[in-house]
Amino acid sequence: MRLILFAFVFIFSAADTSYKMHPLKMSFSKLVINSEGVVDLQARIFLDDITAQMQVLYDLQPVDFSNIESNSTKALQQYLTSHYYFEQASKKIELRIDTVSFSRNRLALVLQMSTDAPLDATKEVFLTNTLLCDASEKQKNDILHIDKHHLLSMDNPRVKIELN
Amino acid sequence: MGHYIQLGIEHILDPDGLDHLYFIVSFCLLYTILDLRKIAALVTAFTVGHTITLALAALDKIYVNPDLIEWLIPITILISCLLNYWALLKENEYRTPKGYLIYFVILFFGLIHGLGFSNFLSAMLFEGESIVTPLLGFNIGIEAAQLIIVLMVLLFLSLSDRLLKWKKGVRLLLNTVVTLMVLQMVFA
Repeated sequence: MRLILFAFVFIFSAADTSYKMHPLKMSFSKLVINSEGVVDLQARIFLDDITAQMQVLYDLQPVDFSNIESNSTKALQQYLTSHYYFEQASKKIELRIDTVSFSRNRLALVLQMSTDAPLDATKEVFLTNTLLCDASEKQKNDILHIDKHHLLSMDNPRVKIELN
Repeated sequence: MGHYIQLGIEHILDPDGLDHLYFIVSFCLLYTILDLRKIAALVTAFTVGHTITLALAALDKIYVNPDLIEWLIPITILISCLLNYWALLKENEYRTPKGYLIYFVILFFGLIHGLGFSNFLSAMLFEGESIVTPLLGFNIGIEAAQLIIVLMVLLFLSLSDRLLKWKKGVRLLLNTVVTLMVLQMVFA
């Protein structure tokens, strides 16, 4: 019995354990818009997923998100223009990455974002989030805004944001 | 709270991440629906284990390399499967195992699985966000999913015991399926 157990562990030590770090394909965002329409949006994206997608889309090797000026972060900024943005009065309002960092266990890439100009509090605003939906049909993106969670996906990519 | 409960349930039941499910199946296999008290005690031991490490990791009190955790989780499943083979093959007739050592083993494995859960939970928590609601909700969701799986396994085993009258064989077969699924998951 001990021999069998040892054999399993030995075989196992050579195994590829990167098969799955997280079963669910999700990103998590927290949106705060103040009374003047200033946007503060933090997004947490699983690093392995976004890294793989950046490699595929932009042929980046290696993928480096260590700072805001890196090629990978700039590529991600480009990616965001078509996957994560506001819409107001039929006009697209792009997000700007202000800082980039990692979660403590380095499983998630943490983006701090804002818009170039405040949103107009008198008009309806919509937020579209299709981050990584092009990488996996199972991808879902959770957005927390005023204690309410909105779950977006490729089938439901857009949500109306209430401005106070 | 409901949002985190749903995430906890989906974390266990997601088809892309069945390792926790395989573990629960593996430790139910030696029992029948008549052993509900024993199963409840085992599930409780597992819950205590993973709650401890999930909470400690989410509160940043402990940190274990995620690569190591993802290596250890399949190990726990395979050890559980090996123990099942030993229990099933050591005697000619099928008997529900006795003894208390299994509770400590399951509790210890729960500690490891909790660290796995914490990887996901800590990735979704924002700075300054209270951990209580997400932790509680996520844990409740995990427990609900575990209970669903346990009940389904026990019902299946009861049905097969009644229809096939081959208790040992069915359990050996299921144990082998779980073993192969875990090996395939890792090596494929």
